[in-house]
Amino acid sequence: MALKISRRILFFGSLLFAYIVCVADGGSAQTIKVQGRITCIAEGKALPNVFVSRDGAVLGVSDAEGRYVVDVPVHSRLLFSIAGYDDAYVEVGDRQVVDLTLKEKVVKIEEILVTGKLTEYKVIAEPTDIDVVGDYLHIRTRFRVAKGIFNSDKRFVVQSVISNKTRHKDVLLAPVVIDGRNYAITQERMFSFDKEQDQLKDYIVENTLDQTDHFYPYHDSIRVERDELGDYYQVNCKLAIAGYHTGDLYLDSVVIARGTRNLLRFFDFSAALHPQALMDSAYYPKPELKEMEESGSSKIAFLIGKARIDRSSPKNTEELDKIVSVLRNVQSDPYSSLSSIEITGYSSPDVGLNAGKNEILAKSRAKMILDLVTDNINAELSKHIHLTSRAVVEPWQKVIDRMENDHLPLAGHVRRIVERYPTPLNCQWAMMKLPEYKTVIEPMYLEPLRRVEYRINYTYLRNQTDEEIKARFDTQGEKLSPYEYFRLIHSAWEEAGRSRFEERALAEHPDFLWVANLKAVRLLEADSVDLSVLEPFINPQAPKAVLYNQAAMALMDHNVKLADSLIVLLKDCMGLEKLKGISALIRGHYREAYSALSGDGGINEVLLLLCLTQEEKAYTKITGLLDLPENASNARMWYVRAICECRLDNLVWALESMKRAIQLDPTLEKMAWLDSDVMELMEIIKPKEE
Amino acid sequence: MLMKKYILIVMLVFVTNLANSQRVAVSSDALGWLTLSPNFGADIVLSDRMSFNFRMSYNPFNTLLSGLKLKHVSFTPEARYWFKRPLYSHYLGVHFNYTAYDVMCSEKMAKGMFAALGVGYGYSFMIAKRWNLTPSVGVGVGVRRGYESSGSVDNSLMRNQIIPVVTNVSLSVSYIIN
Repeated sequence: MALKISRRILFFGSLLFAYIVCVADGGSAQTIKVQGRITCIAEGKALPNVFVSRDGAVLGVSDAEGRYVVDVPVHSRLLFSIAGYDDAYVEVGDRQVVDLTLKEKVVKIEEILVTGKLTEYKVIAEPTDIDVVGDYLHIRTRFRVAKGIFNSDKRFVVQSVISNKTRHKDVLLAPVVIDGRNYAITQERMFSFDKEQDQLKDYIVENTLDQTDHFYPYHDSIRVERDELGDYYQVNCKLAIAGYHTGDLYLDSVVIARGTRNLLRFFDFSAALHPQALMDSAYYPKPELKEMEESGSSKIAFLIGKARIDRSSPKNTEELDKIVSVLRNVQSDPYSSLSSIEITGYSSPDVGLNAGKNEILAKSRAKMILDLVTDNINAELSKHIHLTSRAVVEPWQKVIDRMENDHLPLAGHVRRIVERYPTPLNCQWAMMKLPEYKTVIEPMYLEPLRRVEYRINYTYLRNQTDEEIKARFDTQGEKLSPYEYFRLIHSAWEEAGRSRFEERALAEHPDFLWVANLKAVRLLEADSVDLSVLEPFINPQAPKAVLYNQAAMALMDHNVKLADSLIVLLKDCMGLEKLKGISALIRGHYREAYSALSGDGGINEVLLLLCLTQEEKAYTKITGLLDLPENASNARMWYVRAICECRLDNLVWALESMKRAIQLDPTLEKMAWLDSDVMELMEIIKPKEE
Repeated sequence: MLMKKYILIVMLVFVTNLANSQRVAVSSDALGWLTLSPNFGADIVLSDRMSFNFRMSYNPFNTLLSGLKLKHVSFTPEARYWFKRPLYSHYLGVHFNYTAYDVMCSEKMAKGMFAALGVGYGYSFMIAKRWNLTPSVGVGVGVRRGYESSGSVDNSLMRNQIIPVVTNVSLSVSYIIN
């Protein structure tokens, strides 16, 4: 029993401990609940539907009374945003109550005036811009339903359509469905009602039908192909009203946006991205070794009948030195390496005093030389080298052949003796009986046969000149080694034709990382993108330069997903901050992008300021840039200045800037007609004929 | 026993189905209660335009006030056609009414029954998500049979007298169960 109780105590004790640990842990996470009320500065009215976000993530939306509650870490920076009002950033610190007022943006408002059978409905859509963020077109606006005009028995559907006027394609955006109170409730009383069957169910915003205007913030985006980003787009809002049994009744439509706003098209990637070549020699291709043979023969005088070198003979020393010097040369050459040494000892067919033992003698002589060789090579090396020795007794036939070669009549005698006496000893006796034996045969024909031959196999680097390699490259069909391409490319570093070598090197050696990276660098420098070049080499162990270049290309291709995955792999590297900045820029996180990229100055900083809607600052910067003599004829800068001036409502100056830009670069005109920032200017400069 | 169980299950299934697929409302007439006549009604939505309504009223009291008696029992099944949505806004109905009565007002008294066919009109106001207020009227032609006496006149039997009748005047409050 006592044991049971103590077990229980232990159990609950551990539970309590776990609880305390959990609570303590929760406290250290340092998240706080921040709440407050958002009102409009002009009327002091509560603002519903305000997005509260932190680092681009929406944490909450304010309710009908403008109240919000979010959980955030302390010292967070919150963004309060709603279409039609200026964004507000608030440093929370450790405050738990943050009330704020938002200032209404001054906007021109177009009304959709709908005349029904008996009633007039008014829904107001704010004109807006189509923002290009990455490959997405974003549309942000808000609809206002004025008080008192809303008939409770109706369903309003505002269907926005984004039309690609260049390609005549329409894409439906998310609709806004506003159900009147009675409409919404009685719908549930329908016999066949099934909420799942209502295709618009995800878009319904309930209407509380009180006596105030209703704002419905609207944000939607569509993805378009890259080549369609430069097309001419329009956003139409169509208003449909549905009664109880009448079905949807199309009533009116209004264009709320024309052209796109794409500041990023002027973004100078090359100012922020610095392609990295592989500088580490570990990635250079290794010069490959070619197997070569050197053979030689040396005449070393041995003491007769013995396997000992006659040290007194100066010729012997010379011959031995010859072998040793060959070995030393090979060993001292960094591009050569020994692979095998083969020594063959030869003895003449005459038997002499050591009858029958010629072969043994030849063998021991060869061994003798082999020992000498071994003494002269690196002991460590000799383990890896194949050393062999063998012995050969030259046949009489060789003597006969040589004699016939010299047209000596004696050859016939010798042949006859050899044929007559098959045993070596008898043959020898017979030979010695010949009168020419001592004078001709022995010194002229037998003596040269007594020798030691060596064959030293070693590999060495074939030392071709660049011209030779080039000549081999030009010969169609011959494959070159990576090292040879490496030499070729190096020799043609500054030439335009370098890409020719790179292409073929990659075609022949698909795993040639150095060339692939080089090609990527060349492409990046030319502002073009081909993700497939480095793709086969991307893995967590890939060199940083390669990962960097691929990430840079991915960013230029607006492929943020790929780029971010590479940025994670990079961890730390030169220019990583810039990569992150551009990634943030493409994702539309302009503040983050600004802190990473503004240091470069130039047109990029101006564009970032424009993205952050700091037009005045941007205008000052761009004016400063255009004052520099080297920028005075930069058409794009004049164009950007026109945008700044346009946004600052300085139309006269904007016209001048735009005219200047088009004068400097007439191709900008086409772009300007599609750009909602300067479209107005274009209509003044060149009124459309249609 | 088995039969009982079976019936119970069938009823359960029926009721659940009803609850899932149809709108069912219960109602009561406020004017009826003013006459101290307990009454209740039910609505079952049959389609996006049609509903079936059944109401009954029962007054058992022999003396309501001095000289006033409204003793009756009445049933009215009605088919309703809704112009906007079921249980909301205008409707027109066709109904049958059966009433057995025994009424007295000061000197006059009547006792008997009548069966009538009538048309009804009503309007459902939505006062909350599940609450309706429906004033309605109905008129029709009925067959009456019973006794009637006025003051000193003796009870006299009437036979199958065809008369126009107001079949319904009500202000009902209904609650939509599902």
